[in-house]
Amino acid sequence: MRYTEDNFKEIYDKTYDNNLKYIVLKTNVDDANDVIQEVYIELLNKLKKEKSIEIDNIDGFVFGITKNVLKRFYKNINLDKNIFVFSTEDTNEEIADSYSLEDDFINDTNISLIWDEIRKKEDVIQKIFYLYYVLDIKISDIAESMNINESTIKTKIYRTLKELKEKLEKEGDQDE
Amino acid sequence: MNKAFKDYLYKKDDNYEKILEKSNKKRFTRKTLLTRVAAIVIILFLVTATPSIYAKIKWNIEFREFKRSRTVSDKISLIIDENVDDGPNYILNSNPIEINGIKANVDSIVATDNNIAVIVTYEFNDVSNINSETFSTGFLIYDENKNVYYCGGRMHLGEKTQNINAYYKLLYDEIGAEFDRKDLFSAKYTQSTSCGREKVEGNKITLRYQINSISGYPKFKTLNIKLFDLGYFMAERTEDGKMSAENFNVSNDEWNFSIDMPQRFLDRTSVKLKVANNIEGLELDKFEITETGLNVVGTLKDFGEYVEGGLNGTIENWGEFSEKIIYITDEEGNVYKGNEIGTYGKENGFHTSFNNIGKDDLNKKLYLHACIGYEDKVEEIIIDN
Repeated sequence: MRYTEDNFKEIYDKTYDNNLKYIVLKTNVDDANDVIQEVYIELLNKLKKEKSIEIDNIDGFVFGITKNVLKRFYKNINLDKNIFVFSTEDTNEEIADSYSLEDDFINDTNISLIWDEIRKKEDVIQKIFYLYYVLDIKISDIAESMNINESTIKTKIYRTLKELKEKLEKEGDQDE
Repeated sequence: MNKAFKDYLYKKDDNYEKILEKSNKKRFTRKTLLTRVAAIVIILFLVTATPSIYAKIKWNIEFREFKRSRTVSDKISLIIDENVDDGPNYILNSNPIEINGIKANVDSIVATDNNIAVIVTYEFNDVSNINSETFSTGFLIYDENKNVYYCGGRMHLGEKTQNINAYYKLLYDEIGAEFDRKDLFSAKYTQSTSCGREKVEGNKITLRYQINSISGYPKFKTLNIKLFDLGYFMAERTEDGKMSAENFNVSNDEWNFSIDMPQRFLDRTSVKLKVANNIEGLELDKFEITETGLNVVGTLKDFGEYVEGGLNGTIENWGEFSEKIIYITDEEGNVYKGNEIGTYGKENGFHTSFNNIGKDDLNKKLYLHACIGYEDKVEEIIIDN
């Protein structure tokens, strides 16, 4: 199929989430927005320059640009290898399948504060929260993508939420 | 999914706007950058080119002034008296042309199919301030059909080639010949040339201008000679052993002569020659004789080695040795030396010519000598029917 500049929005909408997920996995949450902007600026400029491009697999095409942008962004990154380093303390912790991730205390008024707290956590927790709560990716998929046990992910989310909730309650008490 | 998280962190729409904005900005930036680069290039061009433009303007003014200031003589026709001279060495009895106190006279010319030599004597009011050892001039030789056989100057030191080339172009233009910048010295006709001092007598210096052609010059009727750029140089070795030289101009004027060749010269025809038995190591590509000369072109085993030996000094008395690489004798024991032997465009290729032998000499036995492996080999010369 031939793509032109007019198809940019369509391509953007179709491919954005998957690329953002990949970028978050391969980089960090802070840089993700900058990187994904670079990816689509490059795509848009290509479409403007070439006027019309024959592309069989648009997902693969954009993904190729993403990989190139990431290579430039992190010159020494090896994209074929998992770059994450995890602490092993929680890895074998057993969590029941019925385990509930109660996050209803998070709302528009405290999200800024909560995200500030999450950003103080280790990189992997930030990624998990971003992938799960922002990009709506299933825990099983996150586990597979990050090569981490599902229960470990759940535990990390649970503990972080619990900690955040306690912190908010504590601060609420102090305010009263 | 948590709506609060998504609303706070999912920047898809914001990113889209920023992407469009940045894309346009990037393109604008590239355009701006290109404009700026172009501006810098123009400024650099103006900064660097202005001096060269001024230099060119200055030089053009100087060149125009030079053209105006020089005196160009009329072309004086010289007649060869055939009753006296039957070639190839033609004596000319003519009056010299005098310009600004310098007289130039063509004493004689030597003309064969492959060689032209012009003997000119210059007479000065006072020769004491001229280095006669290095005195030389530029010269232009051309025929009635505007074929330029040679146009070249004397050795110049520290002068821009551009200036010299412009002068040559002026000379070509003035005689109506086509100027070929890629063939400034008319290499298509002349493969070797020299301008050397013949003698010095009182206030007179005699120069010999020689041009040689391997393939032969056209059958010209009139030979035109222009003499220009008279000068000399002084050279000395400095204390640190380096050579230091300075160029001195004697005159920018031009002397023009024209020589109508005698009928005998125009009627000349070539006879092909060969050796009675092959000389091993010698291949003759061209071996011809006319009324006025003999020409030999070919390959000679070890010729390259000889030349190298002459250049690096391993062959002693190169001048004497080179005269014996190719020479001719006759049955009466006379020895005919060729003009200076030169290289020819292939491995061990050589060419030389003889102004001292003509067709008339075929009524006696002639022998070609060739130096092969440093030994003299000889074979009789016969007509190649």
